[in-house]
Amino acid sequence: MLIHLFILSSVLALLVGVARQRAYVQFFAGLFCVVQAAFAVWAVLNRGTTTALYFTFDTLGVTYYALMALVGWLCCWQSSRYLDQENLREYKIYLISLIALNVALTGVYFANNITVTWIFLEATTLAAAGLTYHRRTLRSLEATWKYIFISSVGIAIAYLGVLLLSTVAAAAEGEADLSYAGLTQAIASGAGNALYIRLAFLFIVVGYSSKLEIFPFCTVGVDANHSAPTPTSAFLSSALVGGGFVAVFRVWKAMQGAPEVAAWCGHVLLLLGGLSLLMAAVYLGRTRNLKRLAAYSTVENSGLMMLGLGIGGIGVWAAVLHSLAHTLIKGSFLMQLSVVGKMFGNYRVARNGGYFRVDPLGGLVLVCCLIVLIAVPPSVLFRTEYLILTGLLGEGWWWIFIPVALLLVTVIYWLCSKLLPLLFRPVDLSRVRIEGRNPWLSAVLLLMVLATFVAGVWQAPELVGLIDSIAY
Amino acid sequence: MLLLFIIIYAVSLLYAAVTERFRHYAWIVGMQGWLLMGIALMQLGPGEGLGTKIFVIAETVACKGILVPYLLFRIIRRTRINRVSRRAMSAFGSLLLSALVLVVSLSITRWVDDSQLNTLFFGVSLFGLLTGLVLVTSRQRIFSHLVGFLVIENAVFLFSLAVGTELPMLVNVGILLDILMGVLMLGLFLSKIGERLPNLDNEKLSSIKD
Repeated sequence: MLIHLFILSSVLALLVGVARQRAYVQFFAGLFCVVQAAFAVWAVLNRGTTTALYFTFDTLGVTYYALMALVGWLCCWQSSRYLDQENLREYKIYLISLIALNVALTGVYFANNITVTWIFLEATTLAAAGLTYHRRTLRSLEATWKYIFISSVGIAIAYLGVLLLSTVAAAAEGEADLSYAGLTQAIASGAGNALYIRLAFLFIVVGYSSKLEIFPFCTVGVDANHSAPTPTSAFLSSALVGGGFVAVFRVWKAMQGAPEVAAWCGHVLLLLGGLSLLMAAVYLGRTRNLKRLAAYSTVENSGLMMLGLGIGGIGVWAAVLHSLAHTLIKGSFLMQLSVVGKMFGNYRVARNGGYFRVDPLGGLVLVCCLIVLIAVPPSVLFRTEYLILTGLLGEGWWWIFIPVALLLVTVIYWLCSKLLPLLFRPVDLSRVRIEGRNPWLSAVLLLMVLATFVAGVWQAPELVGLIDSIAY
Repeated sequence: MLLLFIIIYAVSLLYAAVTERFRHYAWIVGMQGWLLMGIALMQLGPGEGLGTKIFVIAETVACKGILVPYLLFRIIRRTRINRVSRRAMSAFGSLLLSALVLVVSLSITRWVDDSQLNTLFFGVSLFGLLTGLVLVTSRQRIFSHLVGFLVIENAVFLFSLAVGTELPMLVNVGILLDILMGVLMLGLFLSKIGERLPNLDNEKLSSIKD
């Protein structure tokens, strides 16, 4: 069935490419979204099955796929308005790249083999580069070049990790079974060299850091978010970051069979998570661009996810919920920012204001997103960050807890001081393009954000069961 | 013979670290492709299937040994830039750094010394990886960065041989994809960056700031 999806997606991308009128292009792109939604339903109904040997529809993959289908649909919808002045050729390349990125991420979510995950993550680099270069300016060229170059170096480093793990699998089973199940068994058996396993994990996490937007390669992700059209930035910051999380999470989980290795992996993640948080807190203060503000917020949240995984236990549960919620929130936030950009014509923090007056519904979405991002109740991120911080205290790591808490306070300050003026600062609104509003999109985004509020106040047994099945 | 190939490969890395001419870079990258083919075929042995041998030849000679250097020479001809920037590290400084990298690689190899790894291949591939990173970080022009990436890719290929175990086809496909990525980067470089930045200076690609 997955192969059918890949073939159908390719056909639809081809039809987008050959269509000669904008309406047809949009129709085929919309049809792709319908196909994705249908496949998400099918994947939910067929959870636990394996197809084409290398893909398994487990809860982790299916959940992220469903979220990607939702954000992808919103991205397609808003792109049609956001890029309404683009020439047809560039618009078609944009949509083909978007479809390619969706397909590549589908492979990342469902792959049950570390090499297959790696291959599809490499494919996301190419597809994302097509989106980042959309504007064809020197800046977008710079961002694209850096993104391809650093991501490729990262992917090559990750591949060293895959090769090291192949020695471990071969030592345990006689042949290099690189499925996650095979790796879990091989590592748990203790047959492989522990040094290789540790190095492999380090290489893989560092290599994938450009996708997950954590230290050290997060900067290229930030630049890519800045240069891409904003609806795409929403997709990159949510679905692609989710893809990075899935890739790292599967490797991390395979490491848990050997307690010493697991502890070492935890320390690596604590270090990378802490450094990501530090970087985000510093650069959130420096940036004067709303899109970069959102991108550094992603670095902060990805850092928190790594901290959660590093703590282990309840921290893992919190990290998974944090990642899922962040996919919805960051997608909503950046999608609404694309409306702001369409109306104001720029994303500069110092120049814009009074958004609440010209678009109350959109303003409400941004206020709700801000509440979620700064993690105050009823935000679901309040719950996850509370669990992560108490997890740190529970382990007796107060020397990590204190700087993390201080950095979070700094992040809250910068987010509020740069987003609230956009909403309420009195400015001349005569040049604002009111027709840029998209109330239906804002209504959908508001529903999504309110859903996360509900999850922050009350975790339904189904949600708890879902997170449990992913985390443990 | 195998040892000779490996020694030539290591010397080519040393030369890559000190040379300042782009043509030499292109020759070195191409030569490494041919050397890797020889090393890989000798590692595979006579009993290996024809399909695997064809795959390895396609990976090494067709891509690394012919296509990549051809694209590099096209870039050099098109941009007419032959040397790394004058502001880059001096040849003597590069040689010292390269020697240091070699010592670090040998020390790590000695420390790891494990029966699961071919230590000779491991040491040289580590040297290649670090040399690539040095090229990326110590040079001004983005052409050197590109060469650094290609050197890293070759090191990854050699590392896959160092692992020694019979790797599944998927892993080989992954390596081929990595090479294709390099070729695509060269394509982008040729078609876009060459047009916009005729002098290929890294400083021109630093406008995105906070």
